[in-house]
Amino acid sequence: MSATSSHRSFYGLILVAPFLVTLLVFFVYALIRALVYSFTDYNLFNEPEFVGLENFLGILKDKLFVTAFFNTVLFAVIVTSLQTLLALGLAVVIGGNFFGKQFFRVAFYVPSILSSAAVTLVFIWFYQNNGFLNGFLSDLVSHRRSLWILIAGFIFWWIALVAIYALRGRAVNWFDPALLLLSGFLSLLLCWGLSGSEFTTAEEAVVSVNWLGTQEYFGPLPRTMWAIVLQNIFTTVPTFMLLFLAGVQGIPKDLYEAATIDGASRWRQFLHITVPQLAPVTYVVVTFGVIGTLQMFDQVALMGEAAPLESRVTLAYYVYHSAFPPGGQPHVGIASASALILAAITLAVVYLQKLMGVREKANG
Amino acid sequence: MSSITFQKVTKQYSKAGESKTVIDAVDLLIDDGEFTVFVGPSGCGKSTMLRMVAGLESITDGELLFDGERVNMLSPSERGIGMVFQSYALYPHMSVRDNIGFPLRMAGKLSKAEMKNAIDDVADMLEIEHLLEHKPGQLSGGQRQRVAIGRALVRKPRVFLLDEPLSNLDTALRVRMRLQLAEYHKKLGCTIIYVTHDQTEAMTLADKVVVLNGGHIEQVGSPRELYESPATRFVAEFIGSPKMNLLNAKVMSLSPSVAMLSVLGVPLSIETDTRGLVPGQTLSLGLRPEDLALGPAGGIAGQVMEREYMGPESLLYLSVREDSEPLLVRCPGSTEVGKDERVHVQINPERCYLFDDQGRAIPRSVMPSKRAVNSQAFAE
Repeated sequence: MSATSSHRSFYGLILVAPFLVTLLVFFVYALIRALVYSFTDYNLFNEPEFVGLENFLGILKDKLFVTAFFNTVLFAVIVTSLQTLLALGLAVVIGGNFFGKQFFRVAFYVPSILSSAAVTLVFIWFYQNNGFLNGFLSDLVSHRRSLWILIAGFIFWWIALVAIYALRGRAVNWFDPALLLLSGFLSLLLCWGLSGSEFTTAEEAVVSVNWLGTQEYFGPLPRTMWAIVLQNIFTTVPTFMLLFLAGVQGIPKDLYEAATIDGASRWRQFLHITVPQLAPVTYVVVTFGVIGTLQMFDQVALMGEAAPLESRVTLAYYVYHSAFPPGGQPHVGIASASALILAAITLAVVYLQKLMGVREKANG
Repeated sequence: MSSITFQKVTKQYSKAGESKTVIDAVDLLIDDGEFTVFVGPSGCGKSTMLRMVAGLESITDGELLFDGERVNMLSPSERGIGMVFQSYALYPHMSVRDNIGFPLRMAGKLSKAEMKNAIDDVADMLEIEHLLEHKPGQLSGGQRQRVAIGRALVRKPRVFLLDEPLSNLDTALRVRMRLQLAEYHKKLGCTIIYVTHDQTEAMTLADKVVVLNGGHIEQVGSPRELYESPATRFVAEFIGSPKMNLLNAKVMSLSPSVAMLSVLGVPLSIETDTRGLVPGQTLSLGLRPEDLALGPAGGIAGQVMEREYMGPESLLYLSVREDSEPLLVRCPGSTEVGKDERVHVQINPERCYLFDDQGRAIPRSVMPSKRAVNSQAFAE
């Protein structure tokens, strides 16, 4: 090796050192320690003793772990699918050309700059028994007559506005947000005009759903988990939307024009051009989504006493709960073993996703 | 196959309250089966015209007719057109077969077997059968071009539109594809509109050339008409390579059919329609480099600034006056002229063009057909 090339590799090493050191300390070392502890009965205070597969077998028999496992996997599947679809849809809508698009781009992005803790607190309040959601639902049910008028009015104005534009020879997108807003506003005016008349008489009704403090299931997930699904999607969609937006704007306009000439409708252009062209972005979004949701911890932890453990526990929270059980003895061995299982599941899912042909390249 | 008529077709863009006219009340008739080329400098509106025919661009005012039927409000797919884009716009994630089959799949009128036959027929004609399972990314420029043509042809369009289709190919391939396109046109006999900024492509391919400039039509005609009797100074300069020389010519005296001019101090008498001319007026005299010849004494004197030798011919750049552009002369490659040599150029009064200060051609009494005979005699 010549003097200059050893010189170069020395500087190269210095430049990658910060990354290498953190990788070694926080990943490799931590992984090895976790692997070692997972076969011991270590509880932070004792001398670790080898116990074989006892921790793993114990975990598999633990009902809380099984609950956490199903909660996590279903949560991951539901949130990843919904947030990917929503992010894609929003990106396509705000990627188009319409009046006020700058405003909507900012408005849609705002949720992702809020801290997870703040959002969780807002949502706890939102879901409380006498919180905003129940109050809101009660109001909706009470004022259902006005509501029907509002919806009917909205649809009426919507069609009317599109028709007016069409008659003046101007093409208008049905889902133009400005158009939707205007229809909404006009229909609100209609409702306001009818207020006080017998069409809008309110009938008192009280909706009192227990969103958080319950172990009831709705479909495959505890109701509490659904609440977390909603708030998690609320916070993650904007970032993924931004990724999709960048992707959407990178698709050549020519392709859409060619497809228009080939007779493809808007929907088919979306299906045959937008979706396949976004495959690399989708791969990133789904991978980030899967990893993020399988590791779901902060929003569950912050729910705290607002919901029972069984209806909000996830694998990541199970790890934490085993390491630091409230009032109990730490089970570092069990925590390590369950952390390894979580890591294995995460790796397996991402690898499976790659195998299933979610491609990294659009044009390969 | 169909004829296309533009009636006072206008296109305006409005931005921030200001509207800009890019196509200004254009009238044009394209006959059934004609190979028409829109040519002009960039920004002249040729692509906009094509995109209006395609239906990708709305028409602000006027009527666009296919076979006498108004198509202004028809969507691109309802117009029965095929289009080849400059970038080819092939769907990168689909195989060549799926690319060509896409319009058929969207129309949804054919069975699987019929679709396969249609694709195979087109692939056979374009000689791309062996590429059908490839992705566009694996193809060369020329192959992609043919796939794009295939996709445009598979639905048997009435009108076939090409937007600068050869500009991304290298020179040799461009010449080959040019011949190929002419051959396809003969085979299919469909109406073709072809957009290019390259006058050579326009001249070699077209039945009819439409020269556009600044949103209006300068002239419509066969390549020969444009070359031999340009209607405006713009057309005269745009058509022909190397481009026409333009010199200032002062009208000295006039008789009913002859104008006496002074060009660079040299007297020149030209047979022309002298109505509207006044003595003392300055005109533009157009001289094609190939119409000039070196002679003994007399004529315009100049010094050879540069000589470009190209084998069969040479291009001479002559400095005729300090403040004017060099005069281009095309002479046989064997001509013995060196740099800095002083030479004399003969002007053939029958082979020059006159333009007034508006850039309009002044009608010559010499007709193109007669000129054609003359030029043959001149060549011999």
